[in-house]
Amino acid sequence: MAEAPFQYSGLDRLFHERARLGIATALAAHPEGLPFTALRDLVGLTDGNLNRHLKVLVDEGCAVVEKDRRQGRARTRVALTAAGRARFQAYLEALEAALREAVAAAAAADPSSAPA
Amino acid sequence: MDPWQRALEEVAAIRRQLAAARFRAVSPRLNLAFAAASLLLALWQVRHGVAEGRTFARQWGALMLAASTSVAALALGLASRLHGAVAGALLGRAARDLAPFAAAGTALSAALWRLPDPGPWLLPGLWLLLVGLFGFAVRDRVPPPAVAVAFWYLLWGVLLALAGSGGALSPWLVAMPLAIGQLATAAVFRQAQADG
Repeated sequence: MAEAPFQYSGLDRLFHERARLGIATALAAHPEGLPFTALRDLVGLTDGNLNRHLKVLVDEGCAVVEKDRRQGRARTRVALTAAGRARFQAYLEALEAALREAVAAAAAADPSSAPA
Repeated sequence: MDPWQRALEEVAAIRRQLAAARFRAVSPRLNLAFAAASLLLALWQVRHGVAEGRTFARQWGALMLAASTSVAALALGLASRLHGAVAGALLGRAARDLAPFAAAGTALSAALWRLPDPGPWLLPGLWLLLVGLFGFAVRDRVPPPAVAVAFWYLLWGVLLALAGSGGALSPWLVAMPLAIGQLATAAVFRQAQADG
């Protein structure tokens, strides 16, 4: 059966969740990764919640959590993997396509609101 | 700005951030050393007169092999400093990208090496050509200006292969494109590392 036009199967559930979208977006800006505490502050999650969402991303091979021993003391560092970046990129493409369709639908329903 | 448009722009901004993860673990100092070594080898060859294709190719091959091995060895160390937790993934990807070019280079080099002159004279051009093709193959994963360096090597690879098909090459004809290419590579990666 052909996919329904508004099925949006490209919207990967892994990232289509508010907390994990925030984590992936924060990490996208830092290819070298972020310290756990910095990431926690950026996404506004508790340690427990962040750990829970990171475990989901790590289990899917989309993130790595490792001890970073630079600057003398060990800190936990989190980063997207290459596979995670590719998968997040695909998710963003699907999200962008959905948004564009929404813009077009809104413009069709109310031509006066269409962007110039 | 209407909220739809703002959402679209935010998505586009995140995508740009994702695209910015490019391999930067190349030591500009090593590129400069390789450029200097190329010029020194050309000077040595001019002074001693290298007339035999296999000797000429062996010396340039040894220099390029030493440079490639050093670049790879230093990249292992630099990658963890520059790329942190994703270093392993980036290095693995780089190795997978390089493998077909290394295999093709080895096979073609072995075939040309066995041929009588001018076969071995074609080798430096072939190696530059492969470096250029490799640069194009990884253009999305290295700093964007690196594609100009890839084009430089590709162009000189073709020119050197054509010149080599006629027999003896001037050592400077190999050294100059190599040295300029390495200087440009050093500049590209130095800037990329400074930009973070």
